[in-house]
Amino acid sequence: MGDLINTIKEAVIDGDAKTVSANVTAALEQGTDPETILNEAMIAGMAEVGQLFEDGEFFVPEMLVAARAMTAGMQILKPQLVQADVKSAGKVIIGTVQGDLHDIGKNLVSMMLEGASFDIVDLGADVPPEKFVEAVKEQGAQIVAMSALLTTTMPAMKNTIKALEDAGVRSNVKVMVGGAPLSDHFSNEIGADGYASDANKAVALAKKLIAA
Amino acid sequence: MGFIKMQLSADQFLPLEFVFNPNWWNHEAGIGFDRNFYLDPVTREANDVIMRRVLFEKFGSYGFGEPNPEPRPVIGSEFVAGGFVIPALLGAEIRFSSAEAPQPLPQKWLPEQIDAFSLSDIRNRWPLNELIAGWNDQKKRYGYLQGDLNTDGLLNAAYHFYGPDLFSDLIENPDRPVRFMREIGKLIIDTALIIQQQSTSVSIGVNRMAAHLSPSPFIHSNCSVQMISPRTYQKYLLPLEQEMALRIQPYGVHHCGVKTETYAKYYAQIPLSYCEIGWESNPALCRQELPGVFLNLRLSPIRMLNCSAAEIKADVEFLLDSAKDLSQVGICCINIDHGTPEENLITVCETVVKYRKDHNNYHG
Repeated sequence: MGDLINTIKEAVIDGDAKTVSANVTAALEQGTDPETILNEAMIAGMAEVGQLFEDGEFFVPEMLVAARAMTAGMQILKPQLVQADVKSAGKVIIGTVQGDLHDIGKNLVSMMLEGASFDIVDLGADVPPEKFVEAVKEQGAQIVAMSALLTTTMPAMKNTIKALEDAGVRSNVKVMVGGAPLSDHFSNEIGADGYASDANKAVALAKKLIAA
Repeated sequence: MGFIKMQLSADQFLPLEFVFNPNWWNHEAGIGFDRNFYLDPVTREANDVIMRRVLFEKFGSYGFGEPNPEPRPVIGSEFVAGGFVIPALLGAEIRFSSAEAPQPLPQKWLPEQIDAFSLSDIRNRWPLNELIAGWNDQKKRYGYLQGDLNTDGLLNAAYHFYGPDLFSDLIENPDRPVRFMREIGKLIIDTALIIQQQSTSVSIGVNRMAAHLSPSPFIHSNCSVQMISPRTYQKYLLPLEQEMALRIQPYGVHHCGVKTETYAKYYAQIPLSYCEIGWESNPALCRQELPGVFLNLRLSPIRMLNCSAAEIKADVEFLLDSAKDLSQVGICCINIDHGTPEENLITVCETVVKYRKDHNNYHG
């Protein structure tokens, strides 16, 4: 079993979707616990991908193919996880804020969170505050994650938090923010619950916020 | 083929440039960045006058702007860096707004569209057709044209149409993105050559530093290159830039990302005359890889916005001390936002002036 788990994990890191799919299937056929495959192969593989990215060994293309390999495996694994009543790590509503069309950073965070077993509601780019509010009301998520690349669109994060407050749903969710021009100081200033400087740190932050 | 070494004007040892973003201009000078700002020649000329005057009022003692600017036939704004022309020629819808740079709205093309993409007769495509009509009008009024347009970059432009698959295909199916970017590269150079026929510069609209160099370089925007590994750059992007550099010289690279030094040895193979060194890079290592190339050291606009004057002074000193020989070096900050303390901008100016004086005292 250990060999298969390790093969899946390595194939996730290498972005080899075919090997991931084949070996997830094989592991399930051998009777491996789906939660073990999830935690020890898929999530562990993506965690290593995140670390390689943080260390400057991996770049966006390598992250994307790894995430795709993970998705390929999850398509096979998910029905088994549902059947075994394995819960996700939490639900995250994510989007790039109003006025900002840059979505690469948001996509990276989204795929890393998914790789850490979070359910993702991706609202896309240029998301107005009311759309975040609507999603919070409808989705029952624990976290709202906002991204901005431009200094000029950073104020939209504050506007979104205000909209969540005005709608009476701010206390329902934790708010995390990220993007090149942001900082811990800015996060505190606008009343967010946390800031992450890259996709890997965003996963750690999301886990911390859920546990809090 | 070697690179062309550019000369600096005699009074511009260690040139310094600031480029403010539309939000800054909107707040400081009341300029709106709607469609007319870019496409209507009369509006463009009027704003050019305002911008030169405002720069003089704020930073005139450090050589910025002019006290009594006269209208001039600029073919694009020389004071902002909004790259919309190439995505627009490719067919993107452009969103203009009063206090932001123009933003191409992303389109997700099908693989077949990407495979079939080819452009010809760009003079008759929007926005070049509209721009050229305006330039003809300006030429009638002034007899000449000056300035240029931002001509964007391969990865930046391709992403608007290809989406995230652009990056994964560079690993899994590189032929498709490489062919697409080769076509975009042709488009970029075709556009730059059209501008070159009209004006004495091609890339002030990418970085104002181009105005200090003679001959003024073409500058290719490699904003997104930091998202791919140096190895991926070498395999797929470098050959495309080499093809582009065969068509236009002197050739420069705008690298605004971190760790420019990890790409520099590949940039040296383009061949290159000008290279921007993004913040959080090592200028000394870049210089080792790029001897003789004009290095334009970039300060961080985010640090300019958030840090103290003492920290900014240390940033400038770090960059200039790292670069050591400053005879082929400039320093700039691009995309400075409204709210950036003027004290920080003045600190940059004064620190640069001190280095210039030190150089003069030493070299006579």
